[in-house]
Amino acid sequence: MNKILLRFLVTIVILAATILGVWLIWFKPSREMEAFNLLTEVQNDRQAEFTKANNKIRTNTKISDSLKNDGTDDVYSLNDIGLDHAHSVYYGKIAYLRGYMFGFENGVTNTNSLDETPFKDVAGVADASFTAGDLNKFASFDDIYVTVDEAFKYYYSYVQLAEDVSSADAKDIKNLTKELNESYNSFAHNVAEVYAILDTNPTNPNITMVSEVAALYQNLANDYYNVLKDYTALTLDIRDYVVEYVFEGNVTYDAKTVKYELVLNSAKALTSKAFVAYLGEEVKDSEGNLVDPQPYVEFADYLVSAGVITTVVPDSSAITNYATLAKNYADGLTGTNGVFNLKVADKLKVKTEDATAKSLYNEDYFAYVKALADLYV
Amino acid sequence: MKKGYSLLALPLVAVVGLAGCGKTERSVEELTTLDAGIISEYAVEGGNTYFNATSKCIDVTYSVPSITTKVQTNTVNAGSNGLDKRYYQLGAVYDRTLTMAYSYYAEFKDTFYASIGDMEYEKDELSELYDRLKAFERQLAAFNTSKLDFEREVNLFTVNGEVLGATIDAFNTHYTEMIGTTLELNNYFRDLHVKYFYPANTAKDASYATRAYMDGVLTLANYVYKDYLVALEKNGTTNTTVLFSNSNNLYTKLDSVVAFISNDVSSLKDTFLDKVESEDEAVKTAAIANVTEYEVALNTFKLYFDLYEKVYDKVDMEKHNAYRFNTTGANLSESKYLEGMSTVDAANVRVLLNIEEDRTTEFVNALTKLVRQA
Repeated sequence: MNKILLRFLVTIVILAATILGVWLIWFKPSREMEAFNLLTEVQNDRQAEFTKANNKIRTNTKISDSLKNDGTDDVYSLNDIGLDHAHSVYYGKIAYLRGYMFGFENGVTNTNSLDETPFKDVAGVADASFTAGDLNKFASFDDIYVTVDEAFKYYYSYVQLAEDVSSADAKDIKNLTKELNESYNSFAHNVAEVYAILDTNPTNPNITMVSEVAALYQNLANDYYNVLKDYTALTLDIRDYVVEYVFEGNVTYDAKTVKYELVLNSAKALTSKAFVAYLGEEVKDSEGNLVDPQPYVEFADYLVSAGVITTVVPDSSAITNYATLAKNYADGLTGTNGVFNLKVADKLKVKTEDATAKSLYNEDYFAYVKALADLYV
Repeated sequence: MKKGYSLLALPLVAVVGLAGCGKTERSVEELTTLDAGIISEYAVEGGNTYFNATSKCIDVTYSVPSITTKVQTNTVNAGSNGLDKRYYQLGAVYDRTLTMAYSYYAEFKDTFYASIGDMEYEKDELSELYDRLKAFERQLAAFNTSKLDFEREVNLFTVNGEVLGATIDAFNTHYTEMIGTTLELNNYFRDLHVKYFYPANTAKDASYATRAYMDGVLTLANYVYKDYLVALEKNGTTNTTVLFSNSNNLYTKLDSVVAFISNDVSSLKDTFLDKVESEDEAVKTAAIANVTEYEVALNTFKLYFDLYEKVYDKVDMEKHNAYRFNTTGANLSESKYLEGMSTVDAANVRVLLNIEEDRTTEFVNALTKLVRQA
């Protein structure tokens, strides 16, 4: 009996080993295809979920004449609505946000009750809530996301042509993809949470609901930043991957790729300082030493000035820094003194770090401009 | 039984025997004789049907004056009927591309043949070059026959005969084949030329700069051939009137390049070649830097073109042409065009679009900037 069992087991093991061998030899995707398939999944499934959730939060909504009481119909987009917009003041924020996000026709029937209890008059709520104005500014990050996405698609198209990829580089893509997927999922999950609360009692907002929704919106802002950070990191990684394994180290710039460089580098600078200060955690370097939190605080200030976070002391210096950095990149690449507009003789001056040529650029990224000049001269 | 095996083995032996029949060594004299023979074959009184006496470049001439008039005087906006547009294409696209395809060989063959014999070259390489030149000769003969057929039909139905639309479409396909064979000759010749005459670390002088420029012209001809001429071919005919149906920049690209392919490269001397060998060190440094900058663009374009060729056969060109030339009048957006495609197919299309919309424009800009830069 034991012999039969043993033979049976040995047969199973041999069969399994044979199947595994056949799979490894003929069917296991190469590292190159595995990387491409992972990125395909990001582009198709995960991103679709994120886009769906993002659109759900931002979709345009018609404010009907029955609500406006002035006989007209208006359609507002996120960018149309400011903090002091008459409608947000008049109809109450939760109802307004709910109507704004999901459509007034969906669940709100008694519009008069909203007029009777304007949200702004609910005691103790107004100052701590996530306002329509915050929501409005939150939208501005879509512009960055859309361009990062454009850059991703550009480089992703070439990923399939990579050859002889090292396992370390393929693993990097795997890890970065995993992180991005987690951020996408978290964002979509929080959108569902917002829905669940707002659907509970849409016509009769109370302080608890307002606080919960405000907290969820702040989580959404964080999630959005995580998505932006992870997507930028992944895109920069596949840019390097494509340059190394497909373009064989040759880089060329045109209007499109310069724009991608600008946005990717700016987005990287922007998101590298995002969460730590906001979450109040200590920042440590690789040796465990505490790092000066100032840059992170500045970035938190930036979040404030952008209207995403409402609980940190307002200071607009970080956003100014970001804008300066972006402008410097733009000037350095395509401006009057931009490396692409320089005559060859002037590029030579940049290359040799001539003092006059160097003074034209911000010292923080002169090395970057010089690298471009080196490439062309 | 043994006889049976012998019989079975016979075809194999025959194939092996045939494979060894080709001549593996060709001398420089054989090549120059063949080359001179090709040119003299088409010499006619007062000129040459294909080879311009001054430039040595290919320059297709027609024996029917009415065709020449149509080809030379029609413009990009020629008439509303497809026939006038077709005549215009013969000159503006096909003749230009053939000139570009042949110009590298025309420019350097004399110096190549004059010196290669003194070098330690690999014998089979000259043999391969001979075979390609021979293939070029055969293709030229076939092309000449189709040109004569075309001219005969024009004589029969007049230059405005409606039936000639289909004739020109068929002639276009022969023209494309001629350009393809010319490119095979020139691409191979270019590789040998670089290998033996311009190895790494060659000093950057006027000769070096001229070669780099001509290489760019040849590279662009390879692109035009593949992306426009082959891509538009269907069932043995090529209707290029679709090129007029949108604002594609093929003409702009060709116009900006062909302007510099004059009778010889002397026009380039006025612009940058003299500067490359200037005694003024600053001028010389800047001019050489210009050439280096251009070479980066050339090598990059070649790299992208290699990638383009890798995905070319995987893209449905009929659908692709419908999108980029708007042949169906649907005015599709890129996202609509890509809609419903698998992710891999969409990625392939994006690679093509990147070359067509951005990379060629960048490269043509680099090419024209090289000779125009003060």
